[in-house]
Amino acid sequence: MTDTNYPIGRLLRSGITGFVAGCPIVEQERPSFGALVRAPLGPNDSIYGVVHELSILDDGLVRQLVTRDQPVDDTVIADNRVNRTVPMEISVLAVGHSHNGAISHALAPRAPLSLDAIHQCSPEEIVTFTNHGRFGYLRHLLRDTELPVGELLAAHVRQAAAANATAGQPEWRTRAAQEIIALLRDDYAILMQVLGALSDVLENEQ
Amino acid sequence: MDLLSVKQQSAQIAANAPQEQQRVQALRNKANELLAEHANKGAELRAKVELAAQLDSWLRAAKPTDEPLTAQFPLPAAPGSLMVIAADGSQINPDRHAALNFYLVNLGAILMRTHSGQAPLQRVQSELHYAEYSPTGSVTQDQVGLERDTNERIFLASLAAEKHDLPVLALTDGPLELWGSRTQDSQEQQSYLSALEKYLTALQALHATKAITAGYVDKPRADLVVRSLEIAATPQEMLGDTRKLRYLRGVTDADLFAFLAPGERSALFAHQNQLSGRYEGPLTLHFFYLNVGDERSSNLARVEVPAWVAQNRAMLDTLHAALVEQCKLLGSRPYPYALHRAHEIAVVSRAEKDEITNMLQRALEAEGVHTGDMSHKQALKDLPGRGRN
Repeated sequence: MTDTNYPIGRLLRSGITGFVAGCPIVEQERPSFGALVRAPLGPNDSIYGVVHELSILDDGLVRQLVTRDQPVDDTVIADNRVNRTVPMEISVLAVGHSHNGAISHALAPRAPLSLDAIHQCSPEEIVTFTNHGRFGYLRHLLRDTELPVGELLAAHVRQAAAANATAGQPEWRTRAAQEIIALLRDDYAILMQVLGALSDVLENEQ
Repeated sequence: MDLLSVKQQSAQIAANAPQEQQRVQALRNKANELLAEHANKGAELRAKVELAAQLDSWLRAAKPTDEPLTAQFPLPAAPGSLMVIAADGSQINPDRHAALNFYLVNLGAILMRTHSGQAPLQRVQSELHYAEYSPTGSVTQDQVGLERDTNERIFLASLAAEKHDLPVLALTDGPLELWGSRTQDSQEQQSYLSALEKYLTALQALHATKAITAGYVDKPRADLVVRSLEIAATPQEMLGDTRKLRYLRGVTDADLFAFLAPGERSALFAHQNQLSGRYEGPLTLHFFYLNVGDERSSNLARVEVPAWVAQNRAMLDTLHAALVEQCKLLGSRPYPYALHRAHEIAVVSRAEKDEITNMLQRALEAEGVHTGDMSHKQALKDLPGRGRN
């Protein structure tokens, strides 16, 4: 995880439950799947979300370039990645908001506006957001059955746990895992799927 | 549309097509025979074309150079790194039905350091014109087109003149020759000649920078060489009627040079036309045909170059190899990559046109200028309802 709070792209479209940002493909190393990001909701408010999809877009020229039966020239690749239209979309699931600095894990009252800059949250912001209340934001990650819930939770917990450990809260990971088990206690199939993904990630982090 | 009638007409056209195809093929065969017959008689044919041009100053044809007419030049070795600069233009035309009397000339260019892995640089230059009139009245689409073409080449020359540490290849889409109205109307003729002077100055500037410059014509339909072959077949005493005697009408130069293998270029030819004298010395216009296709599909382009490139074999070889390389970048639709990108940068979309209109309207209204409304005809056309394609 990086330790800076930087813009990752600009908002293409949005709703109360999530939003989509576009950014140049050269920036594809950031943010990553499961990262906590933030978009403005006016001068004092923000909406928070977790990245659940990163997709690379194509267009007619890109499709034409791949018809070559030889490798694509590096200069042409750089041209398409740096100069041409927005080729990467970052889809974000809304998980909470802040109003005058006060965090809430409820959905925001309104959606961010097009072309707003989307920021990756700093480790400090992650710690503040993930320690507010009792993990209420996790329910948003569990509500969409179309999402790869297990993988998404595992990726998010790994990144948030690292920020919390650096902030002197190594036990955050255990508390988060216990909360996830509690939230999924009535859905054994999903729970097993989530725990499998979580254990893969968390064991590798040991 | 009366689809039933169109369907019947289509069937009739298709029924006649094989016969028409046979007729044109016979003409192609005749043209090929004439080409072979005169392959090594370039000087003789050149003199005859010049004589015909003296008798008819409007004649457009090709003058052979020292290269045999049927010459085939194989693909030279791959060029090293080059600075490929391509420029293109687009415009928003003046529209008398619109609320505002404006037009826009938009120029786009790309500067590619080939084989560098570096992202090319992009340049855009936009010029907005409001409530302007030409000496003959309202500004016409043709005049905007002429302004676009002239400025595009001046833009290209200015970019080529910047400091570059690599040999420069400067490309435009279409003929190198500047096209424009050549009517007898003295005002229009004057504005064309004025644009031509500016363009010739830009060409001279390109010459001064030693840039390899070329105009690239995709899917050429010209018949300049074919017309020279018609002149070859015309008796001396009838040369004054060359424009009327079109024995080979329907045959194009591309038909003639279909024998070029992938990567090969044809012989060089010089332009013979009414304005040839204006492009003199190192600016004299030449052209050759180039097969930018591959074994699966032949694809001929016409490449126009000034004499300073045509007469420098190293420059010509670099251009030849670089164009094939640029075309190959686009795989199954060979066309110079840099030119396609320049077009992408230059093109003005419908949405951008609407945005510019709104921007200008707001700015004028802020200054208290009444801008008027669009015509009722246009307003009715814009009504939502039955879609138009």
